[in-house]
Amino acid sequence: MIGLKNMKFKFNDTDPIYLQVANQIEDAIFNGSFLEEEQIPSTTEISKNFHINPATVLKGMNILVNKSLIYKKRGLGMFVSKGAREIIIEHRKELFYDQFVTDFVREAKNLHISEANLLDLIKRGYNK
Amino acid sequence: MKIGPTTNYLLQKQLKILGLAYIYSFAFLIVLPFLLYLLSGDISAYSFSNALVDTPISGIFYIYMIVISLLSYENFKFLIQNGISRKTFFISQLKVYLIIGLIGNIINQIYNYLIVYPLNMDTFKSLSLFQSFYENTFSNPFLNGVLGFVFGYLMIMSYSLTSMAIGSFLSLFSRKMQRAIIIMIPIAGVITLVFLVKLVIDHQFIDTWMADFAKWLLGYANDDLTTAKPYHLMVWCFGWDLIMLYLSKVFYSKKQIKKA
Amino acid sequence: MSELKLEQINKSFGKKTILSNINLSFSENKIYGLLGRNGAGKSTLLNIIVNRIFADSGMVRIDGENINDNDRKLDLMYLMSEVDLYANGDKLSKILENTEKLYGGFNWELSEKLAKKFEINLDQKYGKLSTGYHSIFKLIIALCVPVKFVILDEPILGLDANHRDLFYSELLQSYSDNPRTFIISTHLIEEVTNIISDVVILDNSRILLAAPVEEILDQAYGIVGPQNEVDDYTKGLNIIGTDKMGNLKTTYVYGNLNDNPVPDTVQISNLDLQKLFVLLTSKNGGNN
Repeated sequence: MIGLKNMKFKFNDTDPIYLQVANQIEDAIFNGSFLEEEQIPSTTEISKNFHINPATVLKGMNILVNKSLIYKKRGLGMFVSKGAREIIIEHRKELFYDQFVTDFVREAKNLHISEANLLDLIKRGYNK
Repeated sequence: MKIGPTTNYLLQKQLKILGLAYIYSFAFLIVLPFLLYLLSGDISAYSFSNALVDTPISGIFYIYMIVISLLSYENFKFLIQNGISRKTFFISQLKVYLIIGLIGNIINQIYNYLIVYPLNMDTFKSLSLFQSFYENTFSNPFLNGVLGFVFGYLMIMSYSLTSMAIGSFLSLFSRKMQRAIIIMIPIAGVITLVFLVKLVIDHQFIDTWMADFAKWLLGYANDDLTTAKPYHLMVWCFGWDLIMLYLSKVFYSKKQIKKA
Repeated sequence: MSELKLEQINKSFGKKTILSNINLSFSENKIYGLLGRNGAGKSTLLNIIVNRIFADSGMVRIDGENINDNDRKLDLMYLMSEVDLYANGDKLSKILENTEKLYGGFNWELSEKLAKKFEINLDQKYGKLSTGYHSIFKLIIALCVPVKFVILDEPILGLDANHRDLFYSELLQSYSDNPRTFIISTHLIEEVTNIISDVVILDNSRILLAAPVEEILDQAYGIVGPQNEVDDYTKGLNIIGTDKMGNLKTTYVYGNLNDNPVPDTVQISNLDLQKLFVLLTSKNGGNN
């Protein structure tokens, strides 16, 4: 089983905790800390280590279950679904425009960076 | 109700203290004098039988009972911490007093009949109230023994229940207030005594109702000591016990944890 | 389902009102945080719940039954508090044995494990322990007695950071293994924010708030931006406090926001429990 050390929980003040729990686990799956078909830490372990009410942790996990990112093996615990990482990537691609591009372009406009300039900068970023 | 475990807890704790009280008393009243005589080199002056006769065996029990009763708040603290109600505490403590009273009475009786009485037949020194007054209530010495036992038990319970009432009453007050009351009571007692003595001197004691009452209570018949009967005193003790029991019950039900 | 219910509890000491018309309900298997400033009446309330002291009026019930002088109901609760109700002369192991005797059960396996983790020697006398270890010893008992309501009044008094951390972990482990109701009164709100599921705030002898944490934080906002725009936006809202740095103003709101469009220059964020508590209970922090 994957240790809790692979989860680097950093909590913020604004989002509800259950959402943060879901996001942190999702991140861990996305960046390969939790591999597919491997077990993730139990509700109790997460609860104990990060001092979060187990019901809150469970609520976060259920979000991931509903997204089919993790599933329950009876009597064993929660496991990362096959294809979970692909689902996350697809989902994040969909959100990419709303979450990043719009902000990015707005800030560029505020800084008077032209579209051509911006594209150059993006190319530079890719080639680095 | 958790009367079983609570009684068990209190009995274990208080029996242990009773045992210690007797052991320490024995050490102080019998062994220590012996050692002192031994050290002084005058061992022939030490009389073991005198030391035994002089040991106030019932006094030890009385002092023990006061101490136990004054500790009632300590027990309340522990019991309420463990989810035991005041009512259960009261009933359990009463049961423990009945048991310990019985043990105290047995020890007193054995001591008086087997040690003091045989050693001290001639002088009548250190005899119990019963032995002094009511030894010949029945013509059958066995019946007298039984009566003496019951009489002793009633006396010891009257004392115990009085201690219980006083202890639980005091436990309702803060430490400061308790000390004040403990100091006040003897002072009030002395004042009452002075008042009574004055009353006796001013009026002829024999004529006062108090004297009549005392005679009735002790069961005097025809101003003759040897024919006195213990029944009045026993009934009186029983009534007294009921009153003390009621008061204790009320005081126990009012116990609260005090602020630190 | 066990339910602990307080009905119209009133209590005063002399002329000072400590609790006034308290109505509360604690339901099964939740972790409650009882918050309040010093002297708000938290300890008094907890002492009344377990029948250590009497309310002037009102009643505490478990599953509809009055707990007063009721062994069967008192038996379902354990209150760990600052006041020491254990005798200084008693050995710790003896206290545990007697506790088992009176509660009719005790989790020895857990107590042994906890004693080892907290490095407490049970052969000592209670009076020999430091404040911190008094707390630790009482916490061990609280987690090991077979009760439905574990009530902790300032549980971490005198505990260092490591022991506090260990305590919260063990509390949650014990709660996961054996779900029951916890009521925790504490000053260190931040440490329990994510642990508690419900919060009760006691202020000026009254219940100021009693609800699930999530629900409360969901309607607590900080609104930051240029003063004029913030003021315009927050007009008519339930404002519980403000901060100002130059022209930059933060207005704190508790309750629903309105449907007015949010200006670009204004940012809205949620508050944490500690901040909300401070705003709600400080005498001059909130305007009215």
